[in-house]
Amino acid sequence: MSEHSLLLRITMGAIYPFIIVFGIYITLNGHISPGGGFQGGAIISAVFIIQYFTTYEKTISLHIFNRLEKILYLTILLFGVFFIFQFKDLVPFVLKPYYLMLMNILIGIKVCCGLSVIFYRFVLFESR
Amino acid sequence: MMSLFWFVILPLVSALIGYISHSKWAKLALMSMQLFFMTMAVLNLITVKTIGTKYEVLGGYPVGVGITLRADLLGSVMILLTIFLFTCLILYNYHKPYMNHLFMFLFLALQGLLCGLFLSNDLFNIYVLIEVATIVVSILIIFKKDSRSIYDGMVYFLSNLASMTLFFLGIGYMYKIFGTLDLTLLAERIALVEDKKILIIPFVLMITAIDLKSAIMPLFSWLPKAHGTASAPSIISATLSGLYVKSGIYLFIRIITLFDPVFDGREVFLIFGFMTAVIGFIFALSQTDIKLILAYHTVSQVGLIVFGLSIGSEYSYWGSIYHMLNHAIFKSTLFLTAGIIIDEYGTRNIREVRGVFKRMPYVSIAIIFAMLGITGAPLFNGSFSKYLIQKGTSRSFWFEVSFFIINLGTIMSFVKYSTMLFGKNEGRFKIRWNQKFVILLLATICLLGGIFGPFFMDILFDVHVTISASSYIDKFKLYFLSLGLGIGFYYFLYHKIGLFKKIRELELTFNQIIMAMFIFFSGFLTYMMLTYS
Amino acid sequence: MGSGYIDGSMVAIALFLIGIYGLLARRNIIKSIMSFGIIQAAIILFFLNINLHENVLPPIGDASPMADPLPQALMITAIVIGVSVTAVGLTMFMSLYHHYGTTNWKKVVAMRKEER
Repeated sequence: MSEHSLLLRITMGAIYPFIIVFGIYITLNGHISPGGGFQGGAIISAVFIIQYFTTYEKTISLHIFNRLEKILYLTILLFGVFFIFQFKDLVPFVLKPYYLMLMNILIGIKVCCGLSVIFYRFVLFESR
Repeated sequence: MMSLFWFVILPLVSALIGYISHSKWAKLALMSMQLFFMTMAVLNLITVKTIGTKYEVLGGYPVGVGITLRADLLGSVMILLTIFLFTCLILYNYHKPYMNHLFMFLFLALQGLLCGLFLSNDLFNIYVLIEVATIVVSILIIFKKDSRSIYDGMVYFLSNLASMTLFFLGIGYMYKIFGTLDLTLLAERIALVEDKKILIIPFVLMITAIDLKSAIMPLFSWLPKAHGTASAPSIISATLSGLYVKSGIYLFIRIITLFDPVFDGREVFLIFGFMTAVIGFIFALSQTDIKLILAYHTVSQVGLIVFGLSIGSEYSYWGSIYHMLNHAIFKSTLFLTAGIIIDEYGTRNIREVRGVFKRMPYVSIAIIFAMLGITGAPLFNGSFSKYLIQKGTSRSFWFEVSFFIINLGTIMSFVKYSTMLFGKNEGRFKIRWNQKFVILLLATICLLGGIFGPFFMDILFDVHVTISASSYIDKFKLYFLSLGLGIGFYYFLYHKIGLFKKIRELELTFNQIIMAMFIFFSGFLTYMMLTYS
Repeated sequence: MGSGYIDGSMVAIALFLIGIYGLLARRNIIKSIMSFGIIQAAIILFFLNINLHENVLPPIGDASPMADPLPQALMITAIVIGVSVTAVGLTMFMSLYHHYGTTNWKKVVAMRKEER
């Protein structure tokens, strides 16, 4: 296992900034090219999954992920409801792509938290 | 007046706030939100009755481009029933220890999803809402993490998922043929179709999926496991039997109405409904577990409702819909009281539970009222809906005979259920005030729904029915005749038939459920191709 | 794209039938959950092939002739549903395995009958 870790540690240590940048690019450009919140969030959560395989001390706080995810869910629901259903006509046309970008970022962070929680629940359950 | 989407989103948002904040006042706040929802549902029903069907396109886009929500009479009544039942069930369960914030969140999310299902006008919306509701319900079934309930919850989850994949493929075909998924636009475009054969495959796919969801023969094996499982909380069984099965029937009504200009599937569903009802009560008679008797009996009643819907007369149609509401109320009462009895006696076997009437008088009054309602005693609500269904059967002799057989079966299974009321028992059981209030409230509605039956039909559905005094006397006579036959059968013939013990052991595994679905699909497809080629 | 018969829809239906065969005939619980993944991939493929013919461009910016963007948007939702359903199914399977110790449907049913 330690050999495995050494190879993964060096490779992933060199790559993971690029993965993060790629994920942010896909999230932010969701309104004009394929991608968006869900896909970008899945890519960024890959970084947290890599962290499980490459570090020796398995410390990750699932509590923060859970709380953050629920709060973001609430924010997304309220934003969507209040913006789309009530105030749609009051906002000028120029600002609309920024609204989409904001929703994409929120959805991306939420999906990243969600998928990481799922992965860590699976992995930690087996060792119990 | 609020827009329709608040019915869907507001329960979710309020439960989510309660879950995140972990405060002590969360339950009380959620109860008051429920009362607010009830007033809104009543206002919505009044609006729909005065103005007509209310359409609302989310976001202000034109019809056909955006997501449409539609509140027509049937949908508004179902929403009122949903919110009322959920309020009663939350009040019933207020003090239980497992009722923490997570449970409230999931339960109220289920309410929002069911309201969304009754309001949606778009096939893809229906698919998404049903999938999420399946996940939420299976989590709630295995909430107490008992070993028996995990298998039941998993079989329920996977079978419903399999049926939804068939539904999704049917939606794919509909989009390929018509280019839209909005129900109103589809209804307009279906009338223009000339070659009926291309619509056979989507119709058969969707009807197979809906058959599994509403537990029509031969695809009902998941239902007794999910509803009658050992450690599911009793309010979950009440919600499933009372409301969730009705959503399957609601979808059935919508899809049959959608395909009405092209296909006429009525005769097939008459036969299926009758067979479901008969098989349901035969299985119910052979069980010894209290909750399984009730769960198989739900299958039988669903068969009766489908039978009533397919007869084709106006009276039977509205009678079946009224029977849906009645069945929700009395099945919930029965499941809640069964939960109390199981908690108190510690056993689920009907042969061991005796003397309920002496030990828990309030509970047994509620059980007696619900049983009189479900068997169709005059002056109770069950008799009124069954009377309406029977008015439609007077066209043909075979319909009357089949209706009488179904009624007889219902009475026999409840004679068996009522044997636990008699006998001696010492000790009194002190029942908590919220549980007593809820079950007596539901039992009183059983009685009121019968006495004021024509009044309720008038204000809910705009259907005018009058019953004369002589038909009341006829009904009394028929009821006592059936009751006598039922009691006679149970006490004399029942123990001699050894078939019942064998039927009790019958159980389908998951692979066999999928095989049954596939056989049903192929059989129905062959029938449609032969009829319409 | 090939001859007129081997269409995207035909591949999708073939995959769908393979998935249904997996659900019908395999007694391993993990294989049932995997068959659900295959079925979902098949249906997503079917939806994406609805208005597709040769020389069709992706719906980005100004393009004509353009592929139909509505199924593509719906399928993003469908993929999310597929992921969450697989996750819930696998979690339930883990609890089931913890209690019964076997991954075979028939053995679980036999163990349940003995428990009663």
